[in-house]
Amino acid sequence: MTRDVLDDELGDGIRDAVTDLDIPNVDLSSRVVATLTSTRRPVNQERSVWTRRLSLAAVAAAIVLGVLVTVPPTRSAMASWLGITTVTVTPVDERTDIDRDVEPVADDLGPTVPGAPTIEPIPALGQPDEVSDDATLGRSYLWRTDETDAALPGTDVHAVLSVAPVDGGTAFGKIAFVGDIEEVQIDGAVEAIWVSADHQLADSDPLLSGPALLWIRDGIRYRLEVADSKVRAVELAETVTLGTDLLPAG
Amino acid sequence: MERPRDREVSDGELIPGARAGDVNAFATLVQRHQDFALRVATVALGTSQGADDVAQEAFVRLFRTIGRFRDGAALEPWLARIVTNVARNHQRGERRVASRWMRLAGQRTEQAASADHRLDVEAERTVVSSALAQLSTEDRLILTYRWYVEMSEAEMADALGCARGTVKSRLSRAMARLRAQLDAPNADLPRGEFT
Repeated sequence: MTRDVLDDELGDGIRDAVTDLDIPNVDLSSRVVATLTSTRRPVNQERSVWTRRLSLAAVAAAIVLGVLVTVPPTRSAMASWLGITTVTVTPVDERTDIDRDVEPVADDLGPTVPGAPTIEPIPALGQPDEVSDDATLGRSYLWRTDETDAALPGTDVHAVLSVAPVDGGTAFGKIAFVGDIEEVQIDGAVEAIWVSADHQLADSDPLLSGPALLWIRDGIRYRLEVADSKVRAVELAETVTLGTDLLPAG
Repeated sequence: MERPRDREVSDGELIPGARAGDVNAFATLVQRHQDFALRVATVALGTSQGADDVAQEAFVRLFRTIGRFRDGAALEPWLARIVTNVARNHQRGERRVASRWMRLAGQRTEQAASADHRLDVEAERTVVSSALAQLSTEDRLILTYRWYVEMSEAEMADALGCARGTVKSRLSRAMARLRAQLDAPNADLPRGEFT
């Protein structure tokens, strides 16, 4: 018998073994549709909700967060008066207003930390592939992957967690389509902002970010850019562990 | 396994709708490929436990990335790659994959033994399953892609995210390792069947 015939016989055994596997008997379509419809709202609806929030509630929430949602020029005076400079999130009316022809955030994270800390800041993601320190974002933990699992098309980065102390931290801005910005809660209490699609991070040079979650907890600012749903991003955020070497030295 | 060509509306006709945000069109794709996704998830995880969550998340991710899907390409290699990535994320921090698959295979071995190998076919399946259990996830996946999904080399390269030439060598090594497992002294496969 030739090797091919032998391979075919063994292949039949493999096929049977996989066919024989017990798999869950579930209707995934209803579960997937429920997930998609619970996390997506029509743009127009999103806009109207956001417009209402901008009147007072969003700004009030931003005060609690220490994250400022900047608003059109008519409210810029209020923003200035509030004096919150940690993060600004500027909504724009069109996705095309986001400049995508800029470098990804993950490619501009600053020098890699030698002898990277061995902690797993997000246990579900395991050991990060790289750890970097950056003047603006603080310490960043980075997990690499491939194209289908990347936070931004054309990159190989699945997730980036950046942590920095609020006191003395450098401010940065975000520019995002208004329909992609949503307020969420972590652990049912900590206010956070979820940007569900590609958006711009306005540092000294503009950078492009994938979906990202921003929150402040115990005086530390967190930014989690991740190729995942809002629900999964929040779940990941809820597991962030505060190791002694989570923050950059000094 | 039901294949796209057997159906009235092709994947290629549904994908533009899904790409435009039509959840119903996407739901049809989910129904069509959920069995496939669940099996790949089970192989990747080494257990059926959690395979539904992995497959569900993979479909959500597929919906989000379907704009990057190449028109005319087969959906299953792309889906397989997403399922595998999601499964890998679920496994990170866990090191129990092999033992879980082995437990699954072990149960089957006991079941077959209790039947005194009355059905040779069942026994063969059990032995192959047990041998697969000894392999790495990567080996199990490439063998599943080749023999269960019947992917072409190009499709396997897509699903595995590697060059076509690499597929050939990886597949060859995985087959060799499976044969080695079947040749191991504790393999109770009737000798000469696959060797």
